[in-house]
Amino acid sequence: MSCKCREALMDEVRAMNFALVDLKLYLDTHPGECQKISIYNTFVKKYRELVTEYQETYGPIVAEDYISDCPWEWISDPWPWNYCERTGG
Amino acid sequence: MWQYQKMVQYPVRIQNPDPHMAKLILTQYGGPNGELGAALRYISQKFAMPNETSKAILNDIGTEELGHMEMIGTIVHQLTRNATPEQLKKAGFDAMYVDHGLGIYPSNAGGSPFTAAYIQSMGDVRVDLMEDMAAEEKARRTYEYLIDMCDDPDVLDPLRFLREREVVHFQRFGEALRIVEDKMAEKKLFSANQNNMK
Repeated sequence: MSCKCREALMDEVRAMNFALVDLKLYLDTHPGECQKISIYNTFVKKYRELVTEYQETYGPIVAEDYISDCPWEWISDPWPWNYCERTGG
Repeated sequence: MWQYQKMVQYPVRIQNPDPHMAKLILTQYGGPNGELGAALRYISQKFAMPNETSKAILNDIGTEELGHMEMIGTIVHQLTRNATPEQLKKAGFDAMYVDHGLGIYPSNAGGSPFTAAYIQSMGDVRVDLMEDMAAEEKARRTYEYLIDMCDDPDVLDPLRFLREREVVHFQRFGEALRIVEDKMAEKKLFSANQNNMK
């Protein structure tokens, strides 16, 4: 399978995950900022959609959140540290 | 507990092997200012934290550092991908190679193994957060030294991302420290008679 589309969608998942990670740290030290929490909640919804789209198309990101076919899909390459050429997207 | 997400935090796509740069960058895996030390430091310190903000910030930054450790391992792995013994020798990676092959081993750039002596956990929120702020600054400087040594855009890109994270973490630890110190500086009213408080 080409890495192209997979990597493009993974980049979107990663970007949204990063927005959550970064905003989470901000909220840890600014827990009273309701407007930021509402942005966080919007990102959570977008992130869920992207993860669902990715997992339905290319396989699991989180093993505990994925219904697998047989054989066990979790072990499939590429793993995150594998070199994957980006040809577009 | 932790749950694995099958992705790196920031994309790492390194086309050309460079074992010499790999050897230098390995220090951010298991060296004195590296990501393993950072993760271990914060995840160990969190248990003695007295307030919600400091518990959360140590837990969450420690968690992110585990992801950074994986990014550094990924960079080093990709920089040595398909390298021949001849290339490794030429790049000065031969001493690493005889001890570890192309395996990722937590050491500094000179090959000294990781040690928990790189970190502290003092059971005091102010002391620990000050250590953590210093640690983020040292890691930021290390990334800058690595960036000075590097001219491959594929490698510079994730290094710059990791450097920026050190800046953000420093900021968050500073905010957590200020919250603790403001709380400590609050005036307290002690009263023997509860009716006085009404």
